[in-house]
Amino acid sequence: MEAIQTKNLNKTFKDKVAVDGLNLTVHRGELYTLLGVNGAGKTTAIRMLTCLARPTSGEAKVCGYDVISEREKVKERIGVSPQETSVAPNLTVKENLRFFADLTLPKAEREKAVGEMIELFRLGEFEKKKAKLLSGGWQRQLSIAMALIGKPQVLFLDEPTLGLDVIARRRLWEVVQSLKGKMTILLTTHYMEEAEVLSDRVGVLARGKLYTEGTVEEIETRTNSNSLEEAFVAITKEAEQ
Amino acid sequence: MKFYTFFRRNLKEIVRDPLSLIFCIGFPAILLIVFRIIFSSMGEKVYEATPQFRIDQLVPNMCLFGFTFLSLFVGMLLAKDRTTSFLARLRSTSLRPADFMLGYAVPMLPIALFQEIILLFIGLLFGLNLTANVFFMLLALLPCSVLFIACGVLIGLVLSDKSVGGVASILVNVAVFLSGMFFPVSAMSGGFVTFMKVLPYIHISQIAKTVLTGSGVIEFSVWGSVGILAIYTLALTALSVVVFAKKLRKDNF
Ligand SMILES: Nc1ncnc2c1ncn2[C@@H]1O[C@H](COP(=O)(O)OP(=O)(O)OP(=O)(O)O)[C@@H](O)[C@H]1O
Ligand SMILES: [Mg+2]
Repeated sequence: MEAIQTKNLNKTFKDKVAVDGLNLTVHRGELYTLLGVNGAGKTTAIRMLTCLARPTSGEAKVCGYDVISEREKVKERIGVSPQETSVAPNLTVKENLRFFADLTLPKAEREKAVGEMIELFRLGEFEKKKAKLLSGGWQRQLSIAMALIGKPQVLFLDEPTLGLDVIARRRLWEVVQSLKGKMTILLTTHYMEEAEVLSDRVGVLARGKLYTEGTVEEIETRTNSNSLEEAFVAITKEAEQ
Repeated sequence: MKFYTFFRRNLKEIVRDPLSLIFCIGFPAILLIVFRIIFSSMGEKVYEATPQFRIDQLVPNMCLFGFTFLSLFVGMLLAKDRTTSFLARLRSTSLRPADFMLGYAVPMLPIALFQEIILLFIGLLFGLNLTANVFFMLLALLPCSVLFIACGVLIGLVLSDKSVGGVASILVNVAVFLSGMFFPVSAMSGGFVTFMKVLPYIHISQIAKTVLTGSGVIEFSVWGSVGILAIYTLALTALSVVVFAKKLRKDNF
C-alpha cells in the first residue's frame, strides 16, 4: 500500500483550475517534494490530501484510505504543518504542544512527546512563554512541532522553512532528515537547495499539472540541466507555453 | 475527551486576554458601582421613579449587560481561529463537529457564571439582601446567556475577525436599549414597549426580577417570557449549529 496515491485528482474554483488531473504516488517512508511557482497548486493539493478541501473530481488515498469516504481514518494518520504559521496565541509553547498531543496521542505518551518536541526544536528557552510573544521564526518552528508531535504516518509540510533564518533552516533540515524512513513526508518549498538536500523524489507542478517527477539527478538529466534550479526553470517555462 | 481538550484551550485563550476580563467583568462591575453611587446620592423621588437603578434590578441588568460581551469574545476567538487557519489545522485532526461547536460555546458558561458571582458580590456590598432568591436568580440567568453565546458563535462563523468587533458592539447597544436596562419600562406604554416585548432582551430582565422579587418589570406573564426567550435561544442555537456544520464541510472555513 502506498502512503499517498491520487488518481486524476482535480480541484476547480469557479473557473480556475487549481489542480489538474494529478496522479501522484508517494511510497511509504519516502520524502517527496512538490515544487512549483506561486499558484501552481501545491497547497490546494495538500488541502485535498488532508481532508480540508473536497476534490472536484478524481480520487485520493492516504495510507490506503479515501480522503472523502474514510476521512476519519485519514485524519488519525496525518500531521499537517500549514503554509501559514498557526499556533494558539495565548497558550504557552508547552501548552500548544500539549494541546496537539492531547488531540493525537494516547494519554501515556503525551508528556514524553511534549518533552521530545521541545528538545528536538530547541524550544526549551521559551517553553513557558505565550506563543504570540515568540518571534515569527520560532512560532513557525512551534507550528511545525505541533504537526509532528502526534507521530503521524504521513507528514505534510507546506513551505516549512518559510521565514526561517539560515541557521534555523539548516536545523530544520536536520530534524526532517532524522525523520526520514520513520514516516512519509510530503513537502513543498521554493528553495531548490532544500529539495536537493532532503528529497528522495521531486515532482514539479505547473498550472495544477504534474509535469515531471523523479530523483533530482533524473530530473536534471531529463532536462539536460546542471542544477535542479535550471531544470525547474526549464520545465516551468515549457509548461507556461 | 477531545471536546474537553478543545474546551480548555478556548477557555484559556479568552481568560488570558486582558481585554475580555476588562469588558466581561470589569465594565459591568464598574457600571454597577457608578450607578449605585449616582442614584443613592439622589433624593427619594428620583429613586422611586427609576426602579431600574435599584440594586435588585441593577444586578440582573448588569449581568445581562455583561452577557452581551460573551458574544463579542466567543465571536472574536472563532473568527480569529478561522483567519489564522488554526481552525483549518484542527479540521485535519480527529475533532468531530460536535467537539468544535461545544468547544467554542461551553467555555463561555463558566465565564458567565463568574460574571454573575462578581456582580452579585458587588451587589451585596451595595445593599442587596442575601436571600435564597438571589441564588435562584443567578441560576435563572445562566441559561439566558446561551442566547448571547449562540449569537456570538454565529457572528464568528460568518464575519472576519476585524468586523466581529463592530457588529458585536451594535448588538451590545441593541441589547442595552431594548432590555429597558436604563429606563423605567413599567412606567412606559405604547408601540415601543410592544417592540421590546417582541425581542428577547426585556424578557431576561422580566425573568430575573420575577425570580428575585415575585413581580416583573412589565405586565407580562413570566412563563410567557420564558417561552419567548426559549424560542429565541433555540432558534439561534439551531441556526448556529446548522451554519457551523455547513462551514465545517466547506473548503474555506
Ligand atoms: N479558495 C480558493 N478560491 C479560489 N481560488 C483559489 C482558492 N485557493 C486557491 N485558489 C487558486 O488556486 C491556485 C493554486 O493555489 P495554491 O495555493 O494551491 O498554490 P501554491 O502552489 O500553494 O502557491 P504558493 O507557492 O504561492 O503557496 C491559485 O491560482 C489560487 O489563486
Ligand atoms: Mg502554497
